[in-house]
Amino acid sequence: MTRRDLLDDHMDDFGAQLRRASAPKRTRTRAGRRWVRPAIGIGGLATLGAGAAAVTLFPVAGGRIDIVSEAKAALANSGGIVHLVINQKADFVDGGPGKPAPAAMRHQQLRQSACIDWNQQTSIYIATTGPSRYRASYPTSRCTVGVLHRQVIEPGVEQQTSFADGAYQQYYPSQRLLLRTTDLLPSDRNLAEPAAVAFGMQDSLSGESDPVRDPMDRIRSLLAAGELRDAGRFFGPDGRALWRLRGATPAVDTYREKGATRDTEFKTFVEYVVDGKTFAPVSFSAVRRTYPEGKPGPAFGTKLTFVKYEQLPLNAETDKLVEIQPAEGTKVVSLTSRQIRKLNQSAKGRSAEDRDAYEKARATADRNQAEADAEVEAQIRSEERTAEKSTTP
Amino acid sequence: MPQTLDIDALYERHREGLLRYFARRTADAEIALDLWSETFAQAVKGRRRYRGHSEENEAAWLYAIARNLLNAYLRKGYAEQRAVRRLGIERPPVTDALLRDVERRAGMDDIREEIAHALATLSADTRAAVQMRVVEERSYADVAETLSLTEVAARARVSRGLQALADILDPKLLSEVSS
Repeated sequence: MTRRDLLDDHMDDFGAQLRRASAPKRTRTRAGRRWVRPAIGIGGLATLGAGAAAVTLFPVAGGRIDIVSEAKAALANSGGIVHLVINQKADFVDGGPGKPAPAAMRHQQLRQSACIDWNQQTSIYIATTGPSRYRASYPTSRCTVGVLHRQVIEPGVEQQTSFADGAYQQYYPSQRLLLRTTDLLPSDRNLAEPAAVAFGMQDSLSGESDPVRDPMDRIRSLLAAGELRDAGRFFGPDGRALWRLRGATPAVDTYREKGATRDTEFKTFVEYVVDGKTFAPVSFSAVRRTYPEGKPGPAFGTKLTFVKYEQLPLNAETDKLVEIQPAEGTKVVSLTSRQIRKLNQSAKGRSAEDRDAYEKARATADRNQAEADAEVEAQIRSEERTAEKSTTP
Repeated sequence: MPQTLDIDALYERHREGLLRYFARRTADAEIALDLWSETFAQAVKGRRRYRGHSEENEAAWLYAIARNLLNAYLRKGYAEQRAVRRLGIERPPVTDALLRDVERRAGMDDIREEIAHALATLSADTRAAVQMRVVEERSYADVAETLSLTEVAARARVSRGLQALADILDPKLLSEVSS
């Protein structure tokens, strides 16, 4: 039996407090009515409003359109495979509705996202029924060098990941290397769900993450639950009929800024744009806005565009799309999670050839990092010049 | 049918692993305790929105909260405690002896050694910042002054270094960095 220590006591004490905090409470009411909190726990945080630009409003003739019934009719799950191609933009911030972001926030945000080429896309095939199964393909960061099983993974190369039958796999075609793990650690178990890859598992306030397989199923369930509302049809710039669906969480969380007299509240606004006829997802975005001292303040989010959405029937051919098909000569390495964590990642013990390969890749990554930093500096200077011009009389 | 979330069971299953998760990613026992407590507090606050069906779903949901908090910490340089405060939880005091227990149970001496080896792979500027903060355990103010940076810049440089080290120490995190 393991000897108890101070940490055990600390954890027991905290656990008791959690238990008390989670005990049922009376429902709070506001102005005599039940305060209903719609739960929008979708993966993906994004900027609002930058999606399909409204050109003209779609005239709604006759009576009110029952969007829930229309959505149900359109959103019949094919029970097969969904193929998504997603373009995800970097986080952005603003200083308030219609206001630029505070300089320090903007600078930090730009620096963090500069190495990830957001114009490159993630392609993911997802089995929509049965146990979780998916295959995703996307590029690595251009400023990062990886070392896996003594092989150098150069910056900005294609990688594929997949999950099926309890096994998580990573495949690097340029290195002809496939790593396979069958015992995901609890901290990595979100890798078993495609939303972790497709939507970046960036959640809303509570950190909730549903096992999203088909975004159309998600839209249908949110509409049926009243958590998304009809925000109107419109035409996109290409003339395509689109439908805007919106939801929001009320301010459910707060924090107190140093020196503030009241808590700052957060609110998340979510918007799906879907095809007006088929309800196929076109874009997803959310903005998390703060309300310091009760007034709209800075916000941040990331927009996710569905460059492609297609439903495929499940058959012998399409089934292969959900699995990694390694090229001939690919080295397959099966490791436990602990073994992967213990892989030699340092220069110690490497051959001269390995070290050379690593140093070359490192030099490329460092150059890319310097380029990214220079791009950020140039962008910041440009923004500052623009800001100066707008304030110069 | 989604399961009702049993917070007690969730806490018992994950209390150790989650603390180790944060300790090994921040190399700071006190920050790890802050993030750990906030994760469970947010889980309590968000439990009615949970829609999972299995223990695996629960783990994924909990660690998604954890990752968000970790990313926020790496971005801002401090650990949120909003949910802990809102729940009215009074955390037990953190003593040096407690922090030593955290470090021992999380194997942080091992991680510090791995980080020391991995530092050789970073650029000189980033290496200096991470070495001072993580291995030498100097304050951000101290790091900033030594490197002639603002504290914000020092935090950002350490954060970038830790993220780069995470790639080296844990290959799975390559997919996180590039997604």
